[in-house]
Amino acid sequence: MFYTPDRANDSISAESLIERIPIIALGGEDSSVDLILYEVLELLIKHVNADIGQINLLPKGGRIEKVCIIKDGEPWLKKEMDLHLHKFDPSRGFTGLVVSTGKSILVKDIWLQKDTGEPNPFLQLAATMSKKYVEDIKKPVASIIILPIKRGNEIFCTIELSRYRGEQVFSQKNKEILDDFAKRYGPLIMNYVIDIKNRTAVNIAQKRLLNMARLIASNKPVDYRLAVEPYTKLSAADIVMVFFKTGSMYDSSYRLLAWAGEEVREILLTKFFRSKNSILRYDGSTVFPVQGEEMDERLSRFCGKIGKLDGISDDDRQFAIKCFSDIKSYVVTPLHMLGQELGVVILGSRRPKFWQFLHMSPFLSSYSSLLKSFLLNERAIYYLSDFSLKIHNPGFYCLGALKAGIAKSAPQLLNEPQISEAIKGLDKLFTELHDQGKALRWHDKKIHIVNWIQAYINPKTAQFPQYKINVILEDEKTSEVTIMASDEQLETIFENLFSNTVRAITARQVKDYSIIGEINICIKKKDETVEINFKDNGISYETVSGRGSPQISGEMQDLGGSVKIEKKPYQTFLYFPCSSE
Amino acid sequence: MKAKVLFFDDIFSDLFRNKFPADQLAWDDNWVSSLTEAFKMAESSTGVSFEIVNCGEIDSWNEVIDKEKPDIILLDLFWPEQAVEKYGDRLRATDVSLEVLPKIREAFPALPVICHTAKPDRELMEKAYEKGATFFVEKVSMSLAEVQVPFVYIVINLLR
Repeated sequence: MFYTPDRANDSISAESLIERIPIIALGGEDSSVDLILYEVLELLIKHVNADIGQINLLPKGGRIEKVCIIKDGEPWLKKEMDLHLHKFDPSRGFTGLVVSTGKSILVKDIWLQKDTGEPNPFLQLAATMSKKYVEDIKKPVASIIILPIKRGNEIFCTIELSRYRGEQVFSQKNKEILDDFAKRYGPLIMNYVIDIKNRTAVNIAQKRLLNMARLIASNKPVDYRLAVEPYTKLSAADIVMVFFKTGSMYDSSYRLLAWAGEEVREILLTKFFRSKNSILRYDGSTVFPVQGEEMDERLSRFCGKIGKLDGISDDDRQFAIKCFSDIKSYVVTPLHMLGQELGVVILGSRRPKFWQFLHMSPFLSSYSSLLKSFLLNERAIYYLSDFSLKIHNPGFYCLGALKAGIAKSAPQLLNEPQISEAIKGLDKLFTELHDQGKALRWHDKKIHIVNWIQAYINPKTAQFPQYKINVILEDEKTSEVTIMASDEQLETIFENLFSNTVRAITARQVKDYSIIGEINICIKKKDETVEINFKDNGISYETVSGRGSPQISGEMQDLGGSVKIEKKPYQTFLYFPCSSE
Repeated sequence: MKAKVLFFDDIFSDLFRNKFPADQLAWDDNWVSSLTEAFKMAESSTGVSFEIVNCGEIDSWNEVIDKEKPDIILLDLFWPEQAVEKYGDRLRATDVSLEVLPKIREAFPALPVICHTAKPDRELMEKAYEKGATFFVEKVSMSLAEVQVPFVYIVINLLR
């Protein structure tokens, strides 16, 4: 390490960093957050000649995570390491001391057992930490400084700087300089970071809700894996278990979505009968939100039931039981609404007594409320259609048999107004109920596709003023072409295409900021087909979920059309059948 | 004259019959009996002898038609349990039959297909004709052979 004692005594000026942050933040994605954190940490590392730097976020009701680690001038923390999920516990170790006292700390040797007889909090914790983390980040280190960054009295972030053993230990002066930085700039910069993170999270939640709204509007089943994603991204939980009620009103079946780190599973629990004071009940026997801990009566009961339940694979059974067994503390929020037992969300943590962090943030709470309304809509449609189906069969057949029975055995009764009017009344009532049951049903309509695309693009142009979006028609007649579709189907298709395009252009702009994003949508009519060619000037990028293309293909198939993707240059062709005049 | 009628209806499928209790299936069976009886009743007056083949396996339409070689098909349009199995969505009950109909029409262009369902609507009628129905008629739910007989005369008309 190259040590410059003079510089280490100066106060840190972050003026130029603060000027650059808004420019870095323009992307509004996780990569912007990474870049800002890297610059902050690099500034501090250089100033106090540290070898390793770390930034930890610990907002209540949000993700508790190590967001950035730099070692020897290089980013050390990688996305796939997943350290934030179950290894970092802000209530323990030296960070725990900082969090509980609200003051920064200087430790000359983190591996030294204190003479006073007080236990070394790091050594108490080291055995539970990730081996790689201890090996790379802790083992070579002797002295550290940990700074709290506060919002009012709440510590929502800590910054930790370390020097290798053999180097000069941090001085009190170093700590004072860093304290001064933390006081002057810490909250400002970290608030900015949290703001961008929240914006990214809000975008995710908004996309999930929109997607769900479209599925419900198209009478398609909700994608429950997507629906639970915001709970995994916007909470401090590292285990999320969501029960969704499924089947008819009288069934006791649930869809369990179990998420633990990188893996999410959807497990159908049929005949999963609820206990007397179950959280799955909506009878006032439980007061929400419920807090609980490791293998309490509730979790033990769940494990016991799932262990014996028929109809689940052993692999799924073990996964669900392991998730429940790993939970050390949890908070349950209901999805129940208007007397409907729609399900519950269990936010769990591998950390004991972690309740204050597990309670939902106001935004996640709003998401949950909207999810509840969507689920209720879905249930209402299900019940209504069930209603219609039962009127169809056995309702009409039953009535038909009754009429036939009277006609055969006592035909004179049909001439009696009391009987004939009653039968007519029943027939009328059944027909009315049958039709009402079909009321909330998806219908396609004739859509002028060119007008539709133009109306879809207009708000996008406002949202992405930096892009050039061109709609090109083969000839004037093309604008008159109509197709049979619904708004939701077209939105699903074009929203997916547009998201991919934004990613492709951003990937290119990260390499070359001078590039102006351009999207060309060419529309032409070929015989009885409308061809839409969607092309941008982006480059290939890392696939996010892999769900987009199957969704586009599925919708195109439902519309009787098809989709073709060409790789060089990358472009998508959509073929819609024209509607008959 | 002899004629074979292949009757595709969800009420003959195992999926349907395994789901509902016997007392409910009785209403459907009564209705099928009344229709079968109507065909028999019409034999003496029309001189056409009908053989009725009931089938609930709509996905095996090709094999069944190849095997039975019917002169006419009666196709019920409403298949809710099959829609749950196929699309995970009961609301798409008519999509099951409307998806098969054009395939039948393409494979057997000359084979008459009568589509029927209880309480249909205009949209469904239009779609059925668009996808290849020869005739579209409302299913009369009254399980009385005398009431079903006129349906037999539609069949005869299409067989001529």
